[in-house]
Amino acid sequence: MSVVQGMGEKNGIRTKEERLSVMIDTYQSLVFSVCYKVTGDYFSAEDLAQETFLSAYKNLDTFEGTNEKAWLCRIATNKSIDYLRNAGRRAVPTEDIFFEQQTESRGSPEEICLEEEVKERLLAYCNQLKPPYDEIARAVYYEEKKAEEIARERGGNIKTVQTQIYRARNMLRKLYGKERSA
Amino acid sequence: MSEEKRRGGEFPEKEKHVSEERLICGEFRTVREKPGGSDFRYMTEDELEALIAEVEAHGMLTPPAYLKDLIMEEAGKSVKPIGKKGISRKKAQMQFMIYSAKIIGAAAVAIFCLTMVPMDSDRGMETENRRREKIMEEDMAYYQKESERIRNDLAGTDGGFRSLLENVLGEETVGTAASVWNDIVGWF
Repeated sequence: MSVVQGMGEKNGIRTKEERLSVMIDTYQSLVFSVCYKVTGDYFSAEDLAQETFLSAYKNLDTFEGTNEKAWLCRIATNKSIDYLRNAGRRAVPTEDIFFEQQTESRGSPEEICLEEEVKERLLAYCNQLKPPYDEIARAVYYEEKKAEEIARERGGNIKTVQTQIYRARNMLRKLYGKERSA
Repeated sequence: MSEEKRRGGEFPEKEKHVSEERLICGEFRTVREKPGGSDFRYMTEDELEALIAEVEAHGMLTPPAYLKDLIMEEAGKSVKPIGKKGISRKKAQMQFMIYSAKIIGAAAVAIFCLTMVPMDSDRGMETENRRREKIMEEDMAYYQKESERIRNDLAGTDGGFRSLLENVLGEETVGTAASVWNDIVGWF
């Protein structure tokens, strides 16, 4: 019996969707961090983390291993490596280069607080966007707020906020891509 | 064993090289075969474990809050109902197959009817011709009958009226007029 199955049965979880939901809650930060570490690209890591969980979801029934965490991280690294292998993405710095850059500015690798660093960089990108997308992007990426919260705070429609988040994300991706290619 | 797991065991020679390099450098090098190189390969189990440990030790990134919703939405798309009726993908495929079978059956029956069932295509025309001929025959019979009646009427009035005319106009003139009249009637 797999860990996932065991966990599912123990908690009375039956459907695949519920198992996926538990898996995301438990491992999304790890999977996302692994993808980011391999690719060095925040938005690609986002896509790859999504692909990882979807792939795991599709193969959930056939998963016979015992280490769910390793299985997910294996999928994540393989997908990230596939991403790096693709033509035109070879110029993307790998994590060693990324950490070399961080090390220069922040001291030893142990002192690196990756999350802070990434957040600061994201905030800089968010501030480059035009209103209202800068505020939306800050709320989503820096303050880690959900669309519902933002809509409630701004007194707006949740659908409008979701659209604004979608647009802000695309704008950030463009900015990020431009800067990386430069 | 899944595809994702199987792929981990490729390029044993290169793996050895990377592992040694990692030990020498004292840090984890993920996907490059060697520094400055451009070939990427999948990680070994040891490398993967080291990567997980390193990520966990150095603090993990929090993904955007919408990531879970996005994943759940995408996952739901593969099994979610299609249309308003809430039909699953398999059921929809089955319905499509049944519908296709119906269409193919109907087409086969239509082709069979068109090619195999005998049909007299001239029959309609024959009936039409016969109808027209009958009308023409009736018209001819009516014309002849009417002509006969007029002739008889004229012949019936000849006794009194003709003798009177012959007396007044002369026998020859009346004879000529009668033949002209008969010609005119005949002509009509």
